[in-house]
Amino acid sequence: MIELDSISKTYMTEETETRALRDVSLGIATGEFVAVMGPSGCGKSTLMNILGMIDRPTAGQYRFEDNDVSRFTEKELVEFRKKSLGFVFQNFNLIDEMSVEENIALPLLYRGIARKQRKSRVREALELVGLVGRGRHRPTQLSGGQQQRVAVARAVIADPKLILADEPTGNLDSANGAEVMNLLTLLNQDGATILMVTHSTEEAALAGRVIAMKDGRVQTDRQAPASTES
Amino acid sequence: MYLHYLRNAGRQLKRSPFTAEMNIVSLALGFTCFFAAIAVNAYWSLSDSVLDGSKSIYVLTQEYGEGSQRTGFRPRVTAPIARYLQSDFPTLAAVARVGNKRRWTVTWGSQKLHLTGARADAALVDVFDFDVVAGNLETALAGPDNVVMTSRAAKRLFGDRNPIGLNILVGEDFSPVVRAVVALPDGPTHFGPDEEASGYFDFLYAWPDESGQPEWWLSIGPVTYVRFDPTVSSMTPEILRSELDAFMARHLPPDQANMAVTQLDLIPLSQLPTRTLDLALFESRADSLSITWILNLLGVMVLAVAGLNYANLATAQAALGIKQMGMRKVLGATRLQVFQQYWVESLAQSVVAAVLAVCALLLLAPAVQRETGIDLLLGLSERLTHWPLFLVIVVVVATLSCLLPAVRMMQIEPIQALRHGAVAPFSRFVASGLVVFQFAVTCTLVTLLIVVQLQNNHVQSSALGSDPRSLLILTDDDSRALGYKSIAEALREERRVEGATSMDFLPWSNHENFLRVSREETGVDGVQQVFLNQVGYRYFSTFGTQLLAGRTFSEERGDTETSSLSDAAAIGDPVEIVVDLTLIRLLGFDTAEDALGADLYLSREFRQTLDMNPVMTIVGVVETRPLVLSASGTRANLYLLNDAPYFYPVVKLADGGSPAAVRAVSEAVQSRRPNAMVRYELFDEAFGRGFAPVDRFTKAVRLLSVLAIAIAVLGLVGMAIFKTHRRRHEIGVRKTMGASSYQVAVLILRDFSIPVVAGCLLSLPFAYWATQAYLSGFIDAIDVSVLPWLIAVVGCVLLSWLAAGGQAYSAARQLPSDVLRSE
Ligand SMILES: Nc1ncnc2c1ncn2[C@@H]1O[C@H](COP(=O)(O)OP(=O)(O)OP(=O)(O)O)[C@@H](O)[C@H]1O
Ligand SMILES: [Mg+2]
Repeated sequence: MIELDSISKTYMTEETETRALRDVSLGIATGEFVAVMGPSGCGKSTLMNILGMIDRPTAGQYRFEDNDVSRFTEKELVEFRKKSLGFVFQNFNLIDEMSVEENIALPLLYRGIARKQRKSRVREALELVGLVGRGRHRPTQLSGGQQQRVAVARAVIADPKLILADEPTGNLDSANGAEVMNLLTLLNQDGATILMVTHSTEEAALAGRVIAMKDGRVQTDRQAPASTES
Repeated sequence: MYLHYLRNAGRQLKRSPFTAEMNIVSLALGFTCFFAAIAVNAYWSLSDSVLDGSKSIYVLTQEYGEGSQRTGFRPRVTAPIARYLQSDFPTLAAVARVGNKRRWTVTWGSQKLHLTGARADAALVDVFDFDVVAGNLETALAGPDNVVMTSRAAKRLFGDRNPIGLNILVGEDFSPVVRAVVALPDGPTHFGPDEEASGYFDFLYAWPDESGQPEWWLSIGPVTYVRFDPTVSSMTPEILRSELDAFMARHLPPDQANMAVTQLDLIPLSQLPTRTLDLALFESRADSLSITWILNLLGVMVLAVAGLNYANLATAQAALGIKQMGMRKVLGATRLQVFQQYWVESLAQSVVAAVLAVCALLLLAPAVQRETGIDLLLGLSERLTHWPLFLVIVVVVATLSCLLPAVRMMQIEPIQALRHGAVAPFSRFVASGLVVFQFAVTCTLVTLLIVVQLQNNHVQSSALGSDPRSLLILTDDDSRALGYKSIAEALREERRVEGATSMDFLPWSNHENFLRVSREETGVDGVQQVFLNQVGYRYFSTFGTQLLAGRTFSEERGDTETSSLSDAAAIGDPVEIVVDLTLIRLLGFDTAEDALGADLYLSREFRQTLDMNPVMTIVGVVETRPLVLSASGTRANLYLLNDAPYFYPVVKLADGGSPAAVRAVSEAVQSRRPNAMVRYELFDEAFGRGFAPVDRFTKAVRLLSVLAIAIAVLGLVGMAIFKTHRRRHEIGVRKTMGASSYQVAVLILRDFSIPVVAGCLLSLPFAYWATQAYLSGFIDAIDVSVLPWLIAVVGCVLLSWLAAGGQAYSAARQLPSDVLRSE
């Protein structure tokens, strides 16, 4: 589904230049659950942002389902993002002034989906993440784990082809983290392609494939033997 | 989708109710000013529109003088014009004059009233379709002994009796018969209902036959109406206007053409009230300066300040919402959608503000009508029929206000927005730039406000002297016919009265009795234009006018009154005159003493036209103290001892005046004329009447400026809240590092003051221009230094501290742990 060919990303700041990604090449197939690991500052978030099309590489080619994304215009990018991607962030990024339902419905709103349909799909999503009855709450009234589940619901509601999760459990305790991980594995079993950044080897073990990065390069990339069992 | 944006706007309101309310309140204030300006102008433009065919009625205007000594085009023209106009342009539907307006004592049986009467041509009924209540209007103005009354006046004088055929006594010796009663239309017309209206009358009587009389073209004449009838002739106002110069050249007698330059023009009837007001305010500059556009300009300025406020706060808010915007973009919001979100929010607030503004005007309307006679509701409802225009204004204001934050947010990359605090949405320059601009406008207005106030105080104090309520001007016919000497005689034993004098015009009214004089016997070179003041004995002591050299007129010395300049000239004696310092300077004397004994002569043209050549000897020089507010560039005064019937007696009351003293004067007049209805004005009341237009204008400027300032301060408060909120973390860290509360407060206030001070400094040229423009309209303008502007700057900075002070204080006092924990 995804093919990265010699992707580089260089940040130019006043004096120094940071090479966040150096010649990263990798492919991801539909239905894979990939965990990205590595020390802080090695370029994991940068990779995710480029895959999520909210950042552009400095060099290299990015192909998504045979489209050359690196050549897209701003407008095409927005369209493509809407059609294909879902995001989960470490710090949730929910909008505090909107209710849980409204937060979840937001991607549908930007896709111009009718109100009735929005409602039923939000209900389904709430069921999926186990938050039925919390739809009218504010994000601030929920626990961290619950908030992240709302973020997951928001990420999946528009049926994205790829879900990008940047340290989804980073701000959660282990119990809550496990809940979110459960959810992601479930989604993967239903056929979603997932790319997740994590610092925990246990979580990485749940993924079918682990990519380890260091200094902007892919160090190892191996299939986890446990993937078929869980 | 729009519903979502609207709900979002609602959320915004809930999240930061204070700033959202402030946005709405300041926008509402801006709209209120703007709508009020529109409504006032609309009200004026509606004048006389209730009269049938008012669109085809025009008023002739005439201007005298040239260069800096112009009168401006005034809606009163010299008397013979109407007759020639009708004969030269027979295709005009009607031409008619109304003039010689004055207050009369009207008697019917035992009933006595003061009523305003004016002469009118019979053709007036062809110009205006008056609503005839009783009698026959067609013939009423034809006979010399007939009057037409308004139904209101008839009701006051006769009660419910049928007035037709009743005989009334007007003044002393005019006893006409009421032939018709007309009802003036409701709604604003120049005929009333306010007695201050320029065309107000209670009754009309016929104009005498003037054919064969000498024609004097260089004086203020009657209001002359022209009615066009497009259905019967091709004559249009444009055609007539283009013919007026040739018309004037044909008819103006050559000897009079030498004396002054004069020109005719034409304005639609609906412009009569604004033209009258413009002339009162701006005189000859009324052609280029109009109250209409000044009001609009001020309204727009206040609205602009409010809009800037909105932009400012919205920008600050956008900084807080930047992460949310980033998230929305990640979730698929397009640029257009981002813009829409801001726009809908801004639009919603603008609409609410506009609705609030209309409500505010509805509430204010009765008070405004009471104070100024202007019916805002009428004006507003007239304009609201053009509601799409209002909608456009609201949309434009909303769009402009949200443009800056919306466009910036459109451009922001989601990745930048999501990375916490990685980008400042705006350079500090932008936000500060808005404050700079806003305070440039505000500081200009404050400076103008101070200067207007100073000038007003100056005019009042120099015009009124120390004790204005001790001067009583008698204005009724009986007192005037009696004369000041008889009144003084009757009051000889009265200790509450100090003395009496007289003058030939009502102070602070539009009196214009000019002479042109020169030191040269030929009357050709060094000619100066002066006011001719005909005064009684003790005039200068009564008004407290300071004598600088020589002497004034004195009864004891046996100075004799000349009944007129021409009588004196006929006898051949020099006429003794007193002049003021301004004339002395204009004539080129170094000191007041030098001028004593000098002879003055009439200018050659005046001499020819008046057919006399009096020699005028200066016996005294007094300080300059004109009793008129505006005089088309003429400032100097010449005083002549003269007393004629119907000049105005002025009584000086002892001990600053008292009701008892006023009563004593009334009784003294009545002791000589038992039927007299004494009417009087205290000097300050007379001034108030003349000064009213300027005063109202000043009030409007003051109100609008205060509003603009309030809005700007409100905006600063909002900014203070945002900025200190954003800097809470920084402040917390600084305090942990050992900064004192005082240092923190100073830091915050200093940051706030910089753009405010910059804006104020920038205002200097604008403030200078505005004050000069305002002051140039006064005979006696104050000299302004840079001081008012400095005061304005200091005031603005203090206000900004006041606005930011509360926030700075609470931020400075916060415990660092509170902030650092929450971050
Ligand atoms: N906007 C930016 N400007 C300059 N340098 C940047 C920027 N964003 C990231 N970097 C640099 O790029 C490198 C990779 O950053 P990235 O955020 O991808 O790391 P990460 O692997 O996600 O780290 P962590 O595990 O701490 O989240 C870092 O050295 C970082 O300093
Ligand atoms: Mg990261």
